Amino acid sequence: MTPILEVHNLAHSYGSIVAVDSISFTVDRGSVFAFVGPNGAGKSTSISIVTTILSKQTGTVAYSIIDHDPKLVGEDDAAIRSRIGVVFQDSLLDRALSVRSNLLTRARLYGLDDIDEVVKRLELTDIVHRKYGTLSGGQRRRVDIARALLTSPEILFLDEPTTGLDPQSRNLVWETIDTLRQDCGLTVFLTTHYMEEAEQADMVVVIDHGRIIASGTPDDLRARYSHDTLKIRTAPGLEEELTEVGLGFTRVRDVIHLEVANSGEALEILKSLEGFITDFEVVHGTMDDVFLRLTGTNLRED
Amino acid sequence: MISLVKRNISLYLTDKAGVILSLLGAFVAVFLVMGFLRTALVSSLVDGFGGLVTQQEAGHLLDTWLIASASVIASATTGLGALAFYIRDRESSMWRDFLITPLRRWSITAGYLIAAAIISVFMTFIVYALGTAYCLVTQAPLSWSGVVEGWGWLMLCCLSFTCLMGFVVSLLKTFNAYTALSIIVGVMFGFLAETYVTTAMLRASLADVLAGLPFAQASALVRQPYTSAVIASLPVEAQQATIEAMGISLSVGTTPVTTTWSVITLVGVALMCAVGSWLMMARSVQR
Repeated sequence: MTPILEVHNLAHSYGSIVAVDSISFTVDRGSVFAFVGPNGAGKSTSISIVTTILSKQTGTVAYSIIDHDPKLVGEDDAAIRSRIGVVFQDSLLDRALSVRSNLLTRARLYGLDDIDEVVKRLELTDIVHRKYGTLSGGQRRRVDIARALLTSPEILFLDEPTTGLDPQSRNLVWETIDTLRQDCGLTVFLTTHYMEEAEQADMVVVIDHGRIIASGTPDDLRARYSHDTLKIRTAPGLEEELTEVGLGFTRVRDVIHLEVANSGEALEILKSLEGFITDFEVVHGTMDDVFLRLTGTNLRED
Repeated sequence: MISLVKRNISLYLTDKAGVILSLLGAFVAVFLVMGFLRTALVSSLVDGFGGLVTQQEAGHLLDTWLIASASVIASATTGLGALAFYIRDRESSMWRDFLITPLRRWSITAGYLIAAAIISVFMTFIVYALGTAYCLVTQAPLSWSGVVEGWGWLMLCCLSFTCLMGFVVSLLKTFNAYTALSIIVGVMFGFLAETYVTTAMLRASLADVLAGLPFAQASALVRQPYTSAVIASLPVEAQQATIEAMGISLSVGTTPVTTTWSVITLVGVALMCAVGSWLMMARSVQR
């Protein structure tokens, strides 16, 4: 795959506080790239620099957009701005204005006049005359995405797009993003708190204290930083048997938990314990486990 | 940038209660004087001129003078009112959504100032037009050329004071600070523009200081043409004394403040504050 965005040795400090400490990564065209990290890890600063909002201090940020001609942040900002779309974590449209006038105002800032296409594509026709402030969280998010798509961007930045949404709206937002990816081959750059969202990404980069501490596909990361768990319902004599064969375990209420490398190993253990098994399951490692392992903490919430 | 100006203006107009309150704020001095002080002020004017002017003449003088003065105050307070969106956007960093567009940084700040100036012109026009309608109903002598000239100066006031307010607002960070400023500006302007207290009631040294500032000069610029027909209808002996006592023409010491001087002051304020607010706003937009 060809890269659409390449970041090299990006660093940024606020006075003596280092927010981003020499990070490098590449985003492939058409992929979903997830930037994951606790609050204060440097995600927002990085995304602000990459989207040209914050002036770059050191490092290079290069886009391969518009005929694949490289464009550098800090030098070709105007060209970059006309080819990227950004959905901010906190909605930045005017609540007192209608969806239509919000979209028109923003479109005109790009010298565009046509909002019908994004309105149709995001199925906003029914709410286009309603005030943005009166919409539900999920509807607002769809309008935010429509605003970001005004320029028909090649890459869409989504900063915590589903934070604060109910599960139904969250799914709806994801369905929208998926459809857009399939229909337009859009590249998606996502920052998120929700590990199940990172799970859907092609590439995940975990950042903490301004540094990249791990990167890879979700499968890679799970293989490296998590393990599968074999859960077996306790039966008389099971714990003694496990101790005898020297298998380490923990007990959570009436369920025995055993760490296993993969399902194959689980199967072998199950065979050797055949007489003791009434019920079992093998649970794969999750991105939550990866995160816990890497940062030594749960996601730091606001 | 035009689109940004439109956005700022439509946001202002959507808040209908805000628009009405802003107009009421501009009229409050007029209502108070007309409602509670008119009789006393008219009597004191008549007494002050030793019976040279009639009750009716004094009433007309007071009305036209007050409308001109209130319009000048409105040019400043409505401009400030329109800048509320700058502060709101600043508090919520709303302009990140503009920063990702190809729009140049300076045009974002210019968008706020231009929108505020247009709103100020629009709102001041309403105050001035309603005031003039009142004067017509009470049959106060008005010269149309004077009314038009007064409006011309008012537009300069709108521009100048919006830039001044833009500069002051660009130094603020929170909406609370802005609200406090709005209250102070309304009251301060009434005094500095010699409306709540007339020149004759001030100590000579203080009157000299105020005459050197743009606020009283702006008032004088509008009062001169607007009250010209009323003044001309007064007995000749009373004319000069009225003009001096009511801040219709100003002097610093013995040097009269000419129209040219006032215009230079107002244009100077507009230019300096426009550059100042542009620099300050551009700095905060970057963050």
